[in-house]
Parts: sequence; structure tokens; C-alpha cells
Amino acid sequence: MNWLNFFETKTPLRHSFGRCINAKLAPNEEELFNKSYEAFETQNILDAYEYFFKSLENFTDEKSNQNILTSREEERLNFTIFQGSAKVTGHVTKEHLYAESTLCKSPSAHVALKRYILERNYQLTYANYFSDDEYIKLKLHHDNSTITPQKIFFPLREIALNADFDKEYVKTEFCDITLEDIEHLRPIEEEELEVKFSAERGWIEEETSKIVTLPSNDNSGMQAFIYLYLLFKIDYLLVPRYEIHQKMSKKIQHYYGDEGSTIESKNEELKEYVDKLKEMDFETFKTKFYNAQYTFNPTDKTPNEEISAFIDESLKKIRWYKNNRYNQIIPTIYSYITFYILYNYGLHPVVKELLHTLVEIQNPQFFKALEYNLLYDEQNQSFSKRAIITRIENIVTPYQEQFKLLEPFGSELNYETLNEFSHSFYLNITALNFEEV
Amino acid sequence: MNTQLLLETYIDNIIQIMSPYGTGTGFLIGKLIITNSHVVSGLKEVVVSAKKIKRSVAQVVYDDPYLDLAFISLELETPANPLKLTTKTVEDGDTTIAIGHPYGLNYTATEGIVSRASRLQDELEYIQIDAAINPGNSGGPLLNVDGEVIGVNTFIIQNANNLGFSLPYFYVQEALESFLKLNSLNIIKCKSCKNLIKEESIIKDYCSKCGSKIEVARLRRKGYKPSGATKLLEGILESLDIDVTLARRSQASWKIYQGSAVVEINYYENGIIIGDSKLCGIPQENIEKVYDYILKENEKLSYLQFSINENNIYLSYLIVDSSLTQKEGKIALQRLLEYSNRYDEILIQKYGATLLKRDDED
Repeated sequence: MNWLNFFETKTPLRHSFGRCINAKLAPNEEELFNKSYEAFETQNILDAYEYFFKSLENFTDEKSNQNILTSREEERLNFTIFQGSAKVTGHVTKEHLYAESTLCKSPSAHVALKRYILERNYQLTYANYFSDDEYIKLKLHHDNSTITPQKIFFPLREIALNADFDKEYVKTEFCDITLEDIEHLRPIEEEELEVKFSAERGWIEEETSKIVTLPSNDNSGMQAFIYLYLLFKIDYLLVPRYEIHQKMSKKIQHYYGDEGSTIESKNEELKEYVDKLKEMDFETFKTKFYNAQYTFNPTDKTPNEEISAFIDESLKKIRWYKNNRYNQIIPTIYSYITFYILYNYGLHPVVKELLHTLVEIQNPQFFKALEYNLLYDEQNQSFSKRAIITRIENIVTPYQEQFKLLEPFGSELNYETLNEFSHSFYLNITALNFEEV
Repeated sequence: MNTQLLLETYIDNIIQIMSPYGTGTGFLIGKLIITNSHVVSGLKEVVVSAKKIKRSVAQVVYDDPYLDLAFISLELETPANPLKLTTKTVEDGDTTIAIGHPYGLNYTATEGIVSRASRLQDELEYIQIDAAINPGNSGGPLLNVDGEVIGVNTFIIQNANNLGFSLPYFYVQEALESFLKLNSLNIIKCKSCKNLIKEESIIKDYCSKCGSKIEVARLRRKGYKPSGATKLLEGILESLDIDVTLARRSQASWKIYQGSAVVEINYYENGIIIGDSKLCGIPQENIEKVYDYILKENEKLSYLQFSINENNIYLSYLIVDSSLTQKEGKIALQRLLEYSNRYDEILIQKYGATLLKRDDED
């Protein structure tokens, strides 16, 4: 450990942020995966699956999150995978794997839900919905004759991610239907929910009042940055579920996907949605949250070049706003960049943790409310420079053995102002070298 | 004659030509099907179909990459109104009708005018027309208002609006005469010395007259050879007694008819193979009962699954290429073929689902 670590004892994250698994895989994850591969090669199917499932287990503070459970009978391996609202149970024999996840009771499902799941069957690759006398379930059947860990990863990921997504969707769209198999969801403490609620209120107030200060014409681009930044921020920092998550994702997807509408009309839609969020009372708000274990990340790993290209492009936009003296939008774009990347890309743990550090620095009030040590004092505009350097060291060092050219960059950062700090932080992110020498 | 009448009169002469590399059009002159060389893609065999001809394998007996012309032979009944090559000179401003199967849209007739009767392109004359011809029109006939063939629709200029080029009738006439004079099949025209060469005289793809390499000879010798998962999939289809050449729609798609059901198999670039049988349409009444039935059937089915897309019920088999095996693939595809027809009948007869309307090609 570097001597600088003295300045920051490790403060583990006590909360979930963002949509990924938010935990570390086992240190011997690669070894387990390779053992699984070898066992499949030698037809030790049950051992192979057991290694494979172990490779998917994740840990917080060295303690297993119990996101994947297995039990062995003689010729059979039973397993349970947790993915948010979904619980996938199944078994493996020498010949096949069977997995299923229960959505709801069959008699409670009405015609729109049945139509929905039958349409989902057309979209899914490996899994499909069916109903037995009691329940509607998503199932997966996989033959083991040509199986490898790579081949079984995607089917299991598909069933887990989609079961989770569909449960949240059903809860949002068909609120009269009771979801099954959700006993594993843990409620969030009232106190924390209050912090989240008041933070959301504050951000909405802050950002909508910022919009009023924008120049009266030619401000659609700036408005879009503000609204999208706000939604990304709510998603990453508060991690709402059910209706808020579903509708917010839809709004964001629509904003980037709809090329036919003008930015003005898309801004109007975002504004309407933000107004609705603002109107939501605490009693409704608090029903949209839970804690759960996750096994799979929803996004595939994004190449670093793509992330760097996005940062470069965004920094060019900042330069344009600077040159045209629209200084009021610049802090928003600096924060937007981080949240955009965290929302859209599958990140290497190093990049993810570094960006999370930047989020902490850019949003000190929220982290103060959650009782984390502060890295930036907003009032005095001063940074906890040594703590930041240490944090970056702690993030990068464990990976230096694998990526020899990966360097911590805390001391290279510009600590003059928050904008300059963010700018230098992004430049250092683009310079990270993940080449395996 | 107007365009519609011309199409109706000569439709039996219009042939659709399919190879693993794409589709095109051809037309009957005498006993031969005339098309472009690029439509047959250097193959000895292609699949043809027409209004009165079921999909059949036919032999490419003449391949002329210089003129981009090919002749295909198949025992056919002479149509009631056979097409003829014109003997009249084509003039600028003449009205023309192009017939073909653009983008798989069968029997499409497009009217236009001759923008230039003789446009020189790489030492050959072409008829430049303003008719909107598209991929799939290649090899189709260009007719005058009397229904005579004035050219073979051969190429367009990419990204230009309505700039089509037809190989004039006189080149076709000349090629036909030279070919028939030889009284022999499997003739290749050497692009270099322009001589007609009997395929059997070609050694190691060298022209027996001028010694240059003949690419078409190499392609014909090689033939179409699928590999990897495509080969395995075609092997499975063969083991199910399916004529793979007839079922093949491209290098990565196949279509098989089974009673009232049609099974389409597509192999996508992401490695997923999907065998889809688009069954019937959802009925107007008792729709929920249909949903209940197919959701229940999904519990019993292995390998296959029911789903709905737009307003149709699908029975499908999905697999990743690397997981496909002869044994499992055969069971799955056999079930898909058998069950498709059976379920189609159940859904229509018991649940009032609507029988699917199919296009001419089907």
C-alpha cells in the first residue's frame, strides 16, 4: 500500500449506485472460469457448472453477496440466481440445464399481459414464457452436449436480465397484478429514502431554475443537457425501480432514438416527465425502491476507445459553449459526461470506480447526506487532494500487475476549480492504458 | 399495348432466378432462359421459378461475362404468347417497359423512355433508359410497346435516380446464334479473346484459345460449397429429405413448405440461427383463448416455442451456431416442420385463427 493511503482509510460503499452489479467478483474468478472450461472439456459437467457458478459470485467487502446459490445432489446440481427482482431457479444434470423464473399467477394475468409475454417470446433468443396451471414463468432449456462456460453465460444472462426487466415492467404497466417470488427483495430504510426524496426534489428545483436563466433563444441544446443530466443523475445516484426506472429509461431512449422530432419537442417531453416526478409525494416515491442482489451487468463491456471518443467529443462541445460564452451550462456538461458514461457503457471496474469518485466529488451534498467522507468542499471550493490521490491509487494499484502501463493519476489532476478538475480527470481517463504487456 | 396488358400477355415468359448469392430475372426466348451472367454468379446450376413453373433446378449452359449474358436450359412448355427479340431499331424517346422482380417484388412492370438508344460503355453499346429498375431486375427483359424484347436490363448507376442500362437485342441475337451453332452445352465466352470455349476443353481455368485465366471457369469448377454451421445446417435439412438447393434462398436463408405452413430458416451474422414458422393470424374473437392455448403448449414443447409478432403466431426454433449439432438440430427441425402444419390446422379449425395469405412466389 502506498504511504498516501494513510489519508483515507477505505470507506466502503454502503449503497448501490447505478445499474450494474456494484460488487467485486471473486479474486480467482478467472481461475474458476478456466477450471469450468477444463471440466466441460473432460465431460465433468456438474463440476464444470459448479466452477462456473462460483465465477459469477460477487462480493462486497470480501463477503459474498449470496447472489448465486448452489446445492449438489448425486447426479444433479441445483442453483438459484438472483438478479434484482428476479429469482432464477434451476438444475443441471449431465445432459441438460433447466432454469425458470416465476412472474405471476396464471389466473391473475389478463389479456394484455399474455399478449406482452408472447411478444417478448419473439424477441428473446434462449428463454421463453409459458404458463402451467398455476404460474406464468420464463424458462430456459439448454442441452449440454457442446456446452462451454462461454456458451451458457449468455442464455443465463438473458433469462436473468429479462425476468428482472419484465417483473419491473409488469409492476409498472399492470399494477393490479401481484408479482411472485420477490421475497428476496430487501426494503430500504426510511431514513435513506428520505435522503433520496429530498435530494431528488433539490436537484429538480436546482435544474429547472437553471433553465430559467438560459438565454431566451437558441437554448434547446443547453436545455437538453440539463434535463438529460438530471435524469441520468437520478438514475445513477438514487437507483429508482419499477415505474420511475421504467418511465425514465423510456424517456431517455426516446430522446436519443427519435430522429424525427425536434430537440424542442423532445425537451418538452422531458420537462413534462420531470414535472411529474416533482409532483410525486413521498408515500408514492418510497414504493419505487428496494435493495437486491445482482449477478449480471446489463451492458456489454465497451471498448475504451469508444469511451475516450465520447469524452473527446463532449469536451469539444464544452469548448464551443466556452467560446460562445455560455458559461452557465459548462458545469452541467462536465457532470453530464460522467453520468452518461455510467448509464450507457459497460465499464472496466477501474473506469467505473474512477468515475464514481468523480461523481462523489461533483455531488458532495448528496454524499454528505449519506454520511460519506467528503472529497470536495463545495462552500470553500477546496478539494481533499490527498484523499483523492489515495482513492485513485487504491482503485488503480490492484490492476497494475495485469495492466503494467496503468498509472494512478491523482497528482496530475488540476485542483484549481471544479471545472478544471473535471476536465483534467476526463483527460486522464482517456489516457488510461489497458494494454496487457 | 399498355404496360398492364403487356405484363399479363407475357408473364409466362418471365422467370425468377435464384442463387445462394442473390436473385434476378430472366426471360424465355425459344427454349432458353436469357439472363445476365452476374445473376448466375458463375454457377452451373441455379433455381428458377415462374408463374407456371415450380421452383426447379436448371442448368446454366452458356456464360458470357464479356456481354454479361447467360443462357439457362430447362425443359419447359412454350408459353401461349412467346417473347421475341425485336428486329426494329431502337430510337431515343421510345417508350419501354422493364419487367422483373426488384427486391423480391414479383412481376413488377416499370414504364420509361429511352434516354439514349446507344450509350457506349467499355466498348459495348447499351440502351440508356429512365425506368426505375432496381436490384432483382437484372437479367429481365426490356420491351417496346409492341411487346418485343429490345434489351436485357443489365445495370444501373448506383445512387443515381432512374439511370438504367440494357444490353441491346442485337448482342443477344448474335450470342444466341453463335451458341446454337455450336450445338453443345456448357459454353463459356473468354472475356479476353471473345471466343466461345467449350467448358470441357478448359484445363486449370486457362482459355484453350488465348491462354488467359477464365474466372467464370474457376467459379463453375468450384461450385457453391457451404462451410461451418451453414454446411451442418444443410446436412441436417438433407437428412430430413429436403432438397436443399430448392430450399436455399441465399447463403444464409432457407425456405421450406410443409402443408399450409412455411418454415423459414435464417442464419444471422451474430451467430443465431432462427427457424421460424409464421403460422396463422390472430382471430378476431376469443383471442385470449388462443393466448392461453399457446402459452400452455409452450410448457410442453422442447426445442420449439410459440410467440407473437405483429398479428401473427409463430412457432420457432432458435439456436446459436456453435451449439448446433446434427442430432439435436435434426430433432428440432423435424419437429418444427411437423408441428407447424399440425398447429396451423388446430389454430385455424379450433380457435378460428385466420389462414395466412401468401404472395405469388409462395
